[in-house]
Amino acid sequence: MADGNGNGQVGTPRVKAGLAQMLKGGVIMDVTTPAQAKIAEDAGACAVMALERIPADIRRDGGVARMSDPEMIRGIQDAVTIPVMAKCRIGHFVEAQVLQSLEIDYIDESEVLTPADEANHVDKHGFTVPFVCGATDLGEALRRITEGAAMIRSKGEAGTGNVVEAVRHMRSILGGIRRLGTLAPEELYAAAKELRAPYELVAQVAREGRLPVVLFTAGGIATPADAALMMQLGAEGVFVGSGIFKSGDPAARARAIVEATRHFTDADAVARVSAGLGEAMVGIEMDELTPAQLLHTRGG
Amino acid sequence: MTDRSRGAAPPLVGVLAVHGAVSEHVDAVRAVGGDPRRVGSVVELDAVQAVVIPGGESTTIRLAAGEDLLAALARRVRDGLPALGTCAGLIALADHIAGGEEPIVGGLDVTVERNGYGRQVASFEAPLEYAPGWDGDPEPDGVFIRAPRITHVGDGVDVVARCRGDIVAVRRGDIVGTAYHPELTGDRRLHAWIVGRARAYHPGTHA
Repeated sequence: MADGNGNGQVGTPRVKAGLAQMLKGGVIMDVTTPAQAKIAEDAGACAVMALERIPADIRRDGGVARMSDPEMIRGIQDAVTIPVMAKCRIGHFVEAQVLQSLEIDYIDESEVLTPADEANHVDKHGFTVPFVCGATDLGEALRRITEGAAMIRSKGEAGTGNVVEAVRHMRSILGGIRRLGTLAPEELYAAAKELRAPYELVAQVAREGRLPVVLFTAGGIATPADAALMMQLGAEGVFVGSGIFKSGDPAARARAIVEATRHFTDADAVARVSAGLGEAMVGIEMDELTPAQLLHTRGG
Repeated sequence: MTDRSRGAAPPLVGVLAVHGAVSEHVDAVRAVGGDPRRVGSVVELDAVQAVVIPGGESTTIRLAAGEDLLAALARRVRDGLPALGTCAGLIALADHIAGGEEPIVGGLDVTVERNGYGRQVASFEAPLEYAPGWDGDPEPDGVFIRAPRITHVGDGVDVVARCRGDIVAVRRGDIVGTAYHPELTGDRRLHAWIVGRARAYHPGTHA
């Protein structure tokens, strides 16, 4: 570990996973301009994700989706005091190096962008900046943690406004953890083989009953009730992508999703903040998408 | 209340449960013999004998807690409720936030600068030096995550800990604020302190 600024050890596992712990119970919002970033911060977002096109537009436009322009990222960094995250392509370690050079607070190695490497993810241990990665099941989450991810999110199916895949992935990750807890010690070796993850990490999860890093949800969350649903299922916080700035009244919807995430067990509160929000983003049914249009199958 | 005044039951230590590292503080309070209670409303705040304000994003805590809960918190802290704030919790307890922003809760006459050590790439661990009287593990590390910097300390505010020469933890009366995260390490002396103050706390009878 380098001595970053004469202040001590930077980029330690505690410091990297710790920032995600500070974000728990919060909402991280996709933004494409400094003005949107400010709306998100003023609505109570605990962080923003700076990107050029939100997933719904990436889906519409097609083509190769890449890391955002550093100039737009800097503009967003200057607009807010909350953490700013940005996405790199799966396996594109140079995009990750660039984002670290920009002093991004968290890198999302994301299936929403076009993968750069079909076999390997970024080796995240070597970076000072922490990474969040998507997962569809427990094995995928554990493989990302092994590579150095300091935070996990469900993949869901970004840019659809349809929460069904996020639900599937959260149930799969958390159900997988619960199942590990029921196994006899000698059964954990075979479980590790099935999960394609290191035995030590599998045994730790079985023992502690949770991932060693914070678990958020992402991919299709569009309404306050969606956010509360994912929190009740066991998410520790929420990423909202297209759902806010593709809706009729982004500031009101952003605030409502923050409130619903904070009061996720209080149906009266969720009802109150859900009223009169205007139009939600138009959703997409999963069977309207061809296999090539699915984002959550990228990287495994 | 009668049970608690007999000293049999562990004291009720509230953890502001709006957002951030809530469960870590709940675990730390329990580990040193307190009875941790998540505080998300004025009613829940009324029941506790001390309060911990966890790390998180202070702008989010201000917005998500809401005016009623913050006003009640400010009133109780002013009236002597023991309080421990870590990182964003220190910002919440500070009387002055650089840039001229209104205090969130207040109570500690210090000036803090948000992200005063830089962005996440500059987040660090380094050894702490506690002032005499704050006994515990020798040379514990402080974990600083996008930490606030204490830029000015008012009269009557004592230094609790330094790190590389900087003041990083302060106390005035029954209020302690830290720029680092003791809840992320095994450093339990501040949680032991708040549990002790909670045990001694009786509304209306404090000095």
